Amino acid sequence: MSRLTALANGAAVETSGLAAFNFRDMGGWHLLTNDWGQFLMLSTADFERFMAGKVEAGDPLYPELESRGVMKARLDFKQLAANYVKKNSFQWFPGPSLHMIVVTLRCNQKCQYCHSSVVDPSRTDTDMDIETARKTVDFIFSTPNPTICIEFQGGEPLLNWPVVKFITEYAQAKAKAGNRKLLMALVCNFTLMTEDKLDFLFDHHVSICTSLDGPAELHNQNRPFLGGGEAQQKVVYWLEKIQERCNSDVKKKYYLPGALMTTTRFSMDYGPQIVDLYVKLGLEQIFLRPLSPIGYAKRVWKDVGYAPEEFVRFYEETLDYIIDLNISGKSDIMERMALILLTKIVKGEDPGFMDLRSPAGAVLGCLAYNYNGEIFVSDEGRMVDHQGDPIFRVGDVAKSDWASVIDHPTTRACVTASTLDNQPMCQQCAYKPYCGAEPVFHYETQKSVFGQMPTSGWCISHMGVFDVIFRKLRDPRSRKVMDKWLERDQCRWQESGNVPAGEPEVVL
Amino acid sequence: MKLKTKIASKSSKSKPAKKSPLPSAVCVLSDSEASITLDVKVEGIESIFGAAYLMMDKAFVFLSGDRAKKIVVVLRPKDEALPLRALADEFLSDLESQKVRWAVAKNNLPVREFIAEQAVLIANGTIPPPSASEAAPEPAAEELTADQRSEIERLIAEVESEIKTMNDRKVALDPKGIKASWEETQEKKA
Repeated sequence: MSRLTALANGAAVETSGLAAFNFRDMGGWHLLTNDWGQFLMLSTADFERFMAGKVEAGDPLYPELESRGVMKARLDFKQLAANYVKKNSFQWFPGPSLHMIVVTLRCNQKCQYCHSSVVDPSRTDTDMDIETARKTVDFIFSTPNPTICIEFQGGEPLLNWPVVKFITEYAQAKAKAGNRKLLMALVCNFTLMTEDKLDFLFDHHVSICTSLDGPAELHNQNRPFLGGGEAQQKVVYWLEKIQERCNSDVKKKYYLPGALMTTTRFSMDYGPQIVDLYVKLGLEQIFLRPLSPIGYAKRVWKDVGYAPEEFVRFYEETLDYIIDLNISGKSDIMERMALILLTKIVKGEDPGFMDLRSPAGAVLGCLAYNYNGEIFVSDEGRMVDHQGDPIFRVGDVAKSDWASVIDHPTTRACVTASTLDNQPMCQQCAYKPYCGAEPVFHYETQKSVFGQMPTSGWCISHMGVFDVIFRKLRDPRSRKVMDKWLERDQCRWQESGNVPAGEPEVVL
Repeated sequence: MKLKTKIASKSSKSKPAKKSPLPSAVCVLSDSEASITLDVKVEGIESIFGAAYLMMDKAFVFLSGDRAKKIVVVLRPKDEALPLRALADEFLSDLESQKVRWAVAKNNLPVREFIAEQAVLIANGTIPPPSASEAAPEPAAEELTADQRSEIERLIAEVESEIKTMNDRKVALDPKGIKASWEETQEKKA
């Protein structure tokens, strides 16, 4: 059986009464999903009856099949269309909402996997200058999405603090003048944080996120300082300090710092310890993120990488641990990848996660701006450029306008390649309504923006994670935990065009 | 149209033809590869391509023949330990499923297009979304009703007429204003 899974040999099938859906054999039961985001979990016996056209009106199963839009004779067109609108809300907003600005390539850390393509702290020639920063903000505000989220990245953005400050103030002035909704975020390693910088960030409503890979021995191995020294203690120090300030002021509670972990080969034995640290620090969520073999990480993959199946195993084991903590009442920490997928699957909403969209977020949802003003389809596209291949460059803030970027051949190629209905395997996959294909990942790993899904590491790891999530949804114990997560969730990402109720907006 | 031919030579130790579960499939196993001949009219070209694509994680797949008549699928395992018979069985099993998947997809193409159009109309405010108080839907017919069909035809005619009357080259190239900057969208609103 292929990874897509197949019908049992000799299964009776009557296709005339079947509406459009994809199915997946989950081992003992079948998952059915449709383009409009609905899903249905059937025992294999019920699935076989349904496929054979033997479920008729009066059958106890009939109402469920009808309500899930898989009975061709009982489709509620308008409701299905409304589901589609809700599920794909990102499609109805013109232009990108997430704008990632690399204010410098310099960094004071030498991470094992760093796909941010960094240079030595002495290389100030890779700092964005004020004029480029102004042009970058002007370009961002020429794009048509009513909501703009600017995210500072690097390198280590705090190494070019004056430009971070300038962009923040200039963008906020432009947002006020143009009546645009603006969100701002800083992704930094905390090692250069100071009280003054923190005051500025709070005063200007810039949310803060850092990297925390786990316990000191793991974090410091993954993310060592240049020239030696321990980075993890600084991260923990500032996380605690910022949390303390947020918790002491009700207006700042929305700005509780987030932390991201990246899974390397060294992380594989540390699942519970990583979670325990996040729990100890009072972090609301942990994001079990796989490492992508893009840019620098591709060069060192044999040292830090792993097979996609290994990541899926790590993910499942660590998620089990997190769910057990929730069930036992020891913690209510949530796992972010699960939340993103549950928001799509259970709530039928788009959480604004650029990687899992059809078409992908490249240009349509996000753009990345290099220190020198070059524009890329995504930050991963910029990393490929740093390795000497400019294929994902779509413009320059000094020369390009929005029309030329959206109309760029690379933009068109990325959109076409990442539309799942164009992918032979994806179009038939039960996870199509919730998944996405990443052109940069496939270009880096398979030398084609389309990729080849049967052998794609992206597909193997995402299909595996979806399998885990749907199995958890079928288990009443874990389903209860996940439903609680969804109730509490602030899962809609800031970069989403839809700012959810309660999401902080910049007050100017 | 004929596909490029790239068929592996059969070993002298070729085993006798195996009766496959599909009526049109003839499968021959050699030392290093499985060769399956398929009647395109019976299996469908999309199903054959689809099943062949799905095998790419386990086998090198070579297609040859006439896409209007017969296709020969040669499977050469990437892992020599994988039994050829198991590989051929997996291909045939997937082929059977592909036929079902493609039949369901084709039967429902007009419905999917119709619902996608409705979604666009709801999203741009042309029609309201369904309200919770709306009555339960009437049963839909097996195919689109005459009303639904005429609605689709009306919409198509509307779009065609819109395209015909477009004189402005810029508008013709960007009818939805996707390339419009923020300032242009605001000017239009004003």
